[in-house]
Amino acid sequence: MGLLWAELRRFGVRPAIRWIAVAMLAHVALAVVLTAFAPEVSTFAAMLEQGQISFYAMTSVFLAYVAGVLLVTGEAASGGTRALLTVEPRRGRVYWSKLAAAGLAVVPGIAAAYALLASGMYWVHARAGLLGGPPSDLVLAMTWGGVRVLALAVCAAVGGAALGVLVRRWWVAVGLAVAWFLLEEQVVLSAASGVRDWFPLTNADAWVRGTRTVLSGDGLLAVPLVHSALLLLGLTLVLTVLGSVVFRHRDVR
Amino acid sequence: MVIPASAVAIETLGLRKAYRSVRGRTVGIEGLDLRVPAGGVHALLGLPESGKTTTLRLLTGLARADAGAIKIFGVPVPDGLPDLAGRIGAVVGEPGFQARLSGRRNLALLASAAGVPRARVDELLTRVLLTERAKAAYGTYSADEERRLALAAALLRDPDLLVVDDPSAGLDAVGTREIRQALRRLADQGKTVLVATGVLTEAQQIADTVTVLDGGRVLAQGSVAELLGDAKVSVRIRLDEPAKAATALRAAGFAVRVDGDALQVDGVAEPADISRALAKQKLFASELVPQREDLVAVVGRLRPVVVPTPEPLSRAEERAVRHRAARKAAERKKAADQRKADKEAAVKQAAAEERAAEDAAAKQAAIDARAAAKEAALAERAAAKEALLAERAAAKEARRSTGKPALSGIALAGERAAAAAAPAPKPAAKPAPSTVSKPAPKPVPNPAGSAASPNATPKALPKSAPKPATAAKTEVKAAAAAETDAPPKQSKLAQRRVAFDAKVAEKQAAAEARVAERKAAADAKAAAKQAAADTKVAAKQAKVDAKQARIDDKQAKIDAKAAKKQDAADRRAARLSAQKEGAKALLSRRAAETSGGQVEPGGRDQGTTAEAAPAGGPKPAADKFSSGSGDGEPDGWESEDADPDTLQPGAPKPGPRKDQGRRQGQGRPNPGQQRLGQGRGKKRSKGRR
Repeated sequence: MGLLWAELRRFGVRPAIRWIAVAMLAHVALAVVLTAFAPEVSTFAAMLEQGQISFYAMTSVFLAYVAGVLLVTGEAASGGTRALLTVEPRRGRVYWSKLAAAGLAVVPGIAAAYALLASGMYWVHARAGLLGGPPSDLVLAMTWGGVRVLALAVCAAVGGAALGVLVRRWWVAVGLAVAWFLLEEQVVLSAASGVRDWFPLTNADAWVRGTRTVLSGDGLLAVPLVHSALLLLGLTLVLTVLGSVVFRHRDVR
Repeated sequence: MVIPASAVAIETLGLRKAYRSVRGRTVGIEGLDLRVPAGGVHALLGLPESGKTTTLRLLTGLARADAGAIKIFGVPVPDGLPDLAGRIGAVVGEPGFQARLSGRRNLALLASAAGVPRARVDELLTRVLLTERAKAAYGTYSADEERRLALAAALLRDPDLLVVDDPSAGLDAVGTREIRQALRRLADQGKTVLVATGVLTEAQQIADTVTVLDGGRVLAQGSVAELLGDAKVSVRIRLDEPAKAATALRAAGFAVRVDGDALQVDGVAEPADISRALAKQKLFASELVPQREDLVAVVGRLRPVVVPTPEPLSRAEERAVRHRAARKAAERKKAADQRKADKEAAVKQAAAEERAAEDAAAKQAAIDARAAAKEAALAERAAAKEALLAERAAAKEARRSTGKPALSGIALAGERAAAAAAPAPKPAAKPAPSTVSKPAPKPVPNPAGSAASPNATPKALPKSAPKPATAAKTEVKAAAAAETDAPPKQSKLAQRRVAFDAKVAEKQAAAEARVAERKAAADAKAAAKQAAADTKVAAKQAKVDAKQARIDDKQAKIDAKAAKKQDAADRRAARLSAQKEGAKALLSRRAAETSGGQVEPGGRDQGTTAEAAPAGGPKPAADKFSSGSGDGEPDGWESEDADPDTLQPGAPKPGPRKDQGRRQGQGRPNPGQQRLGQGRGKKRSKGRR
């Protein structure tokens, strides 16, 4: 716990992390404000069902990934790792504490951002009388959506930290994510549906949306969610294990 | 120095570490066998890039060795490092503290990570004299304070082994002294302190044992006294008052010798102590030179003299060496052959040149000989001719006057001919081709000796001078000719001469013809060239003329335009003068009409009137006065205000003018008009500016 606390403290004092948190909040606030100008475009229930809110939340997930990368890369991070290893030479503990810190550290930011986004959208549509469904169902759907976004953000942060350990440089890790996104965007258009189910970003999108399943309660539609969850979890696990192996045997700068 | 196995804190065997990068592979340490005794300060001493920091990184588990083994307190590293947690503290590289957090917070974070109670943090802060600065942000710390905080972090778990890399790096004298004292105190408390340093005095001052590294290998290890000698140095001082300084230093306990105008202080542990002692007496040294052996000298002294021994080569290397040797031998042979061939070629060349020179000399000799023979033949022919002429003359004379037998005349002519032929050389024999130069053949013995006697008969001539047989024949023929008085027949020589002359003349004529032909051709060519040049010149001239004609045309047009303009200007001037006259007349009439002094009530200013006039309407006459006084007016003014159809020069139309004057209130006195003219003048001058 001491290690985790130390990592969280180090994570919190880094200016880049603060800027990322600010960016998360600013992004969702902007989305709410833009929706407030034209709330009649669609009802809140339709937005939830079509995954528009989740679409806005994906940006926050990407920022969580960047935060996870920044936790383990850069001069300050490598210096901190060196200092930790001199007082605590168990590399495994240090590594897992870093990943745990990355996963935990993004939770408040993502939660705040999603809360702001969902409540803002709800308020805007309620004021315009365009909720489109019973409030209790909408709140439930919103909550589950928030949980899914949070889980995905934690996975993204942990995966980002693991990838940061692997590649050591933050710009490489972030560039890889962007490049993968662009590649997948190009490939998805021409790929068959069977292949498409195995793309990480497509599955992340499906996981975050999941609106039909939640609203209808149809159990048949839950299969893609499980598939996406397992795929994303497996990917994160692979990255973290790879990172662990590399961290144990690599020289600390 | 043999270290007992039980007292070894660190032991490495064949440790090896190489760094790989895009630029290649760099060996950090190679086959490092290190033994650090437990307790005391052990210094890893070496020049930069000798492998000190790499060794410390391997010992602390920050880097992995490529080969070899490490044991710390008998525990294999890095696998057993978790068992050693708490027994090792290290300051290797930058401490990695957060600049925004305070020193105390940074230390507390590390303490929480290491599971050390918070009270230990305060204790350590006090111990490293950072209590006052504990709450300040780490980013505001000086290098000395940073170093002390790092040392506090290394001491968090009260380790048995403290590893410090370059403890005095970036510190001032005071900081260096403090950190060295702190390390020494830790060693005195029973800890093992391993220090990597590149400062010889640091090792000499604080270390008990030392390992000298060079190129990633252990150069020597043992006690400091054995390897490095005494750290005390001899210091040479120069200052203004040496006597007073010597007294002061002796009072401070230094051994001082006077060396000329300088002081020599022996056995100084720290030269700064001398400065301090002098400064207390307000004495300041202008020169203070510690004289001691530096690290480079130590390493150079300890570095073994390696006799290069040839290492057994691998098969590939042997093959390569063989190939190289064979290639070199082939190159050498080729060069020798080349040299030999060059030499032979030079010899052949010299022989050829010699032969050529000999041939040339022989040819020249032959030519000379032929020329001499020709000359002799010519002389002989000339003599024969002369003799013939003389004989002919004598025969004629004899026939005419005395009637002497012709034979005597003939004899006389033969004598004369012989005399003439006497100095001529004998025709040369054929020259031998091998001889370079052969002396010209000896002249025939002068037959004049025999011919001088007037009694000598012509028959005797062939005996005394058998060679000029042709001359004799000529004489005989000449005599016969003289006897018959017929025109003398030409001799063979003469015929040849004639033929030769004819040939020469023919050749000469041919040459002259050729020359003439060439000259004619050259003349024709020159004439053609001249014609072409003339044509070109003519073409150029034509072009120039055409250009000139165009220029003339343009000039004519310009002149015509100028004339037109001038004409228009003249007409305008005439019109203006006419208008002026008309206006004057009009004004005088108006003045006469208004001589009663009637002025319109609230009459408008003349200038205002002029400005307020409509653009299409006529301008006030006063305006025209001012502007028409000589300088040109814009064409627009003319087109708008002076219609040439209505305003002919010298024919003012007072009717309309009168109406205009009435409309525009031009019954004002002249001063107003003058003001208007002045105003316009000012305006224009501004515009020009």
